Amino acid sequence: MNQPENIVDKESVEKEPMPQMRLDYLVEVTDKNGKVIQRIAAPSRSFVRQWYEVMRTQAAQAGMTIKDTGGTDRGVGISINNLYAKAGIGVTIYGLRIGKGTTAVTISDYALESPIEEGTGLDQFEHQLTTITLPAVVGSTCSFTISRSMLNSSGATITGIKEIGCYMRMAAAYYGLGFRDVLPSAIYVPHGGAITVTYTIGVTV
Amino acid sequence: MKHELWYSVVVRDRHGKVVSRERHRARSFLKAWNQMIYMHMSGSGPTIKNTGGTNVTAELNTLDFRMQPTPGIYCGTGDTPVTIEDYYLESLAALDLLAMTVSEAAIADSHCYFLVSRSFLNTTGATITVREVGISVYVGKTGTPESTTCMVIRDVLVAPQAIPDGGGITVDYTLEVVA
Repeated sequence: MNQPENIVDKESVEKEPMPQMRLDYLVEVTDKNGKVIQRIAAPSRSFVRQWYEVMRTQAAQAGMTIKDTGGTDRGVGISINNLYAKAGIGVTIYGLRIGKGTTAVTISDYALESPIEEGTGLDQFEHQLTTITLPAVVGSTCSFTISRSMLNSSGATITGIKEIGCYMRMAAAYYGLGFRDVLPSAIYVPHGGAITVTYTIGVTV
Repeated sequence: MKHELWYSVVVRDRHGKVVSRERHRARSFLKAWNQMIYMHMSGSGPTIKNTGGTNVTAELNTLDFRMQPTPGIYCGTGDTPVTIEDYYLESLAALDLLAMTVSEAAIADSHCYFLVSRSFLNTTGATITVREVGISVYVGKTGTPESTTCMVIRDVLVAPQAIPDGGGITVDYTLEVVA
């Protein structure tokens, strides 16, 4: 096929894009007295496919098959529940989670590699309420935060925390991974202490 | 991993011949996009400005984020730079709207993306110069009717695109995440 003679091709190839929608995370660990003893803040690299598949479901108003956090393909349709992540106390099927997995994030991740369970037993945390702030505009950015603390009442230090992420609701009864990050270094939380994970979701023009 | 938004425009004359095209990284998720993400993640409806400039109390609705069959992509003639608070195109172009399409979500290597597309025809009898494009979606709200539209993406084109009479323009947006 011949190229049009007078075509004006203005395609750009930009090497380092400015992300228009971005995630950043902050992880803080406090001891039993509330003193901050560890802190990691970094840009997230980690929306995964389920996030986009849910967004596409809403945009197209057409359901599709999406993998849940158990690795099972589910038929997910339009729903007021899609993306919901404001989990209550002790709820771990959705909301922010932490884990001990160390495998690098891939686009097809569907769960944390080794999520830490709810409870006061060995290597368990008490998951607190997930809180979400109202979006606020500062300069040319609009952002909000989603945050959750997890308390260590296990009686021992919990070590090797290396991954964080967000489980979200999908339609009426399913749950999917929205984003996941592997931390640059492992975190430990002493007995009586807590770990708080905060993601900031922002758009910038 | 990069979260990216791209747009492309292709202009054709009355015979279907491509006369111009442009593809660029968009810079343009607007405030309303993040407000809707917030609403779905939290279950709480913020105050959102609709495409008419009216503040409404958003409320979860199955129509949220709907782009097809309506509202979807629009073209305009304004060239005022994008701001985070933009709620509509500066000046809607008098083009005939064809059907909106939203592709399946696709995985290609380390990319996950879907494509949103619409074509427009110029039947005005004169050339129209498109300088801005954007996407509107449905959002639920309190009261009646139970939904309204808000603009969630807007871009000012790098180069104005002249659409000859009888010709058309196709606008594509690609929403993707790249590992």
